[in-house]
Amino acid sequence: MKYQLFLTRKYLMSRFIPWAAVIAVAFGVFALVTVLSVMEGFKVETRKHIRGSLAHLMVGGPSDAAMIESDDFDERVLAVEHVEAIAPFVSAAGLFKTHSGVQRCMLRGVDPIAEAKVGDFRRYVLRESEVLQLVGNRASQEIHRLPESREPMSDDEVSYLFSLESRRKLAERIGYKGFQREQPPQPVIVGIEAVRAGEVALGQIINISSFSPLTNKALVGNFLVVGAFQMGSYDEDRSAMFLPLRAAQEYLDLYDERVQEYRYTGLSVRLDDYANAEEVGEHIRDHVIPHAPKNTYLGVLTWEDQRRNLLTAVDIEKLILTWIMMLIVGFAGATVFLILTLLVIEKTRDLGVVRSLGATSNGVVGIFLCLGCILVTLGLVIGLVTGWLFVTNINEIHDWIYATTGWRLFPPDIYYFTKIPVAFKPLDLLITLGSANVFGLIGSLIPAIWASRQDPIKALRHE
Amino acid sequence: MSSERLILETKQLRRAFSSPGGKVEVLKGVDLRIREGEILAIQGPSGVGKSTLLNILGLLDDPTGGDLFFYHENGRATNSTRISGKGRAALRNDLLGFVFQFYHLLPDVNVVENVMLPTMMRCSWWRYGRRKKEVRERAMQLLARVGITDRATHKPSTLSGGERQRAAIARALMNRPRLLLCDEPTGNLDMETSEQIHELFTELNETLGSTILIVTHDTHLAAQSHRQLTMIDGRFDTPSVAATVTE
Repeated sequence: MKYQLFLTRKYLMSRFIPWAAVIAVAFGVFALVTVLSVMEGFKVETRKHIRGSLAHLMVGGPSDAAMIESDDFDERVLAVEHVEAIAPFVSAAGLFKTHSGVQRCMLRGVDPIAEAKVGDFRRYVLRESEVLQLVGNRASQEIHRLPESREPMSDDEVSYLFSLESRRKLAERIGYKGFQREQPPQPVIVGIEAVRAGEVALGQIINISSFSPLTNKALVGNFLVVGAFQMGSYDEDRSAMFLPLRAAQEYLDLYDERVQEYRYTGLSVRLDDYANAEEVGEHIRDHVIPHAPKNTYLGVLTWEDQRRNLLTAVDIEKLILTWIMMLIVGFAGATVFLILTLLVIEKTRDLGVVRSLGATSNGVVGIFLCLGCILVTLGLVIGLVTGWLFVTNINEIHDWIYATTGWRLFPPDIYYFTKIPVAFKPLDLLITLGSANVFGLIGSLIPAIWASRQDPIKALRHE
Repeated sequence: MSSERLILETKQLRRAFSSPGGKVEVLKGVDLRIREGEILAIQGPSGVGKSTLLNILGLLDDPTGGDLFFYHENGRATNSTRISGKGRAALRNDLLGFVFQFYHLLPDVNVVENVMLPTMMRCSWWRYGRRKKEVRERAMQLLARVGITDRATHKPSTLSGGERQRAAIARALMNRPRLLLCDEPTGNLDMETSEQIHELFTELNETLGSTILIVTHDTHLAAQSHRQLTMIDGRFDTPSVAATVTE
């Protein structure tokens, strides 16, 4: 291989054209690395956010008022092996009036302490100072992010947020009269994006309309906005609202006169390990639900089941983009092919000379294969390094572009996240390496074989 | 200088080409023996098959009939038709040296590297790595012998025609070939430079014992060879190989 490498080095040093192939391969690999990393990040973050906002398992029925409090059903679920905590919840769709019109919202009644045990409730409920920090600095580059080191709220802080004392103090501060003696409206925690959009504000009393899932009666109620949360998923942060479980049950008219008990929508279940979700779900389905006579139609869903469509869509999107991006790498392979073919034509006489000096046809293959391998490897390394540097700094680059031009490439009101998610996966690296090598090899091998089949006598006469 | 030891022998060598007008036979039964240490000149008008013969002798082309034997130093003969592609490449590298009319130096490689190239092809990676300095020294010695040491690190494009041909001769001699095949070596040179190349061939033959086969139109160069053969219509003008010796 020594003369092949020697000639390869000389050909690379003496002309620019082969480097165009390096640029093409580097660009293809860069694009593939960037897209695969962002799509993988999108997948991971989507799962993370869903997992944070949903419990490992959800037990419920077809109606938003499927379950009855007096059942010992929750105790039975808690007794199942691998179940660590449970939390009842109520959910219902609603509408609320803003100064500019009517907005939809998803009401969720929770027991804050219990909810904190089955999900990341304490982590995404914000302190007032944090809300002001996020909403008050709209021009800041850090506007959408909370520091990773942020201390989650304690149980006491969460309980206090929903307490009467907290509501009274807030009402007094805002300047509402009469709430020292009367009961202030029930508290509600709204999403940070709704606050940012100016639809609601801390201390505001909002009017929410809905229908009772039990009686189907139209309902209207006033609620005091006592706090905000940031789950990190734009849709949730714009439309979800949390209120105390009992307040939600009363507002939604979920008191069942027949059984003299309140109804609720379902149970959130946290497991010791999500890997046990299928097994535990099956156990609850087979052994716990059949013993709940008044809850015949109950079912169990994992958080993946609850967001199956979204997760599948994200998987398919990544797969399609991978194939599309591989076309760019294929184009880079075609560039290698064209450039090496041009080089074979240009160096035809050289090929005749090296054959006359004792090179075999395989040796000639080696020259161009060696050249192709070097071009592809260089392009691959440059593409991987620049791609890695780009994706690890993608949010800084995005923020810089935004600060410089005012143009937001990744607006949170369109995409699902407040920052561009990125994640590396060994399989994606293998796909990148594999596709670049395969296309590069094909692009090099064809001209190399063609070069080796040149008649040395004709090659020597080549002008 | 010549001995009786044969280097190469052809028997009724034929070469025909297919063309749209039909089959064209260029070599029509060439008998030739080349002895060690001789300078042999082949002359003849254009199109009689001189270059075709040289290409076949240089294992760049295959005959369509007849035999071509290469004699090893132990006297054993090998028929070219029985040599594999790899074996033919090895013979071109070890046994033969080519000098072309248009020099055919690699333009991206400097003069000394052009000269080193045949040895680079011959050695294994490991062996070449260890011998690189030695190989370069030999290349420099050959450049000194052909008188262009000062041009060693120059690119061929910066050399005159005579210098390029000297570099090509140095390259052809690099692996100590038993036979130098020269196709119109002075065909592209002026009178004075051609004379210098003649002298160089004679000197190489006398000092190194190089066997040289020259295909040429240059009667002056042919006259300085030990033997002259004239090709007419695809064969030598005299039927007997022995009878062609004019010396």
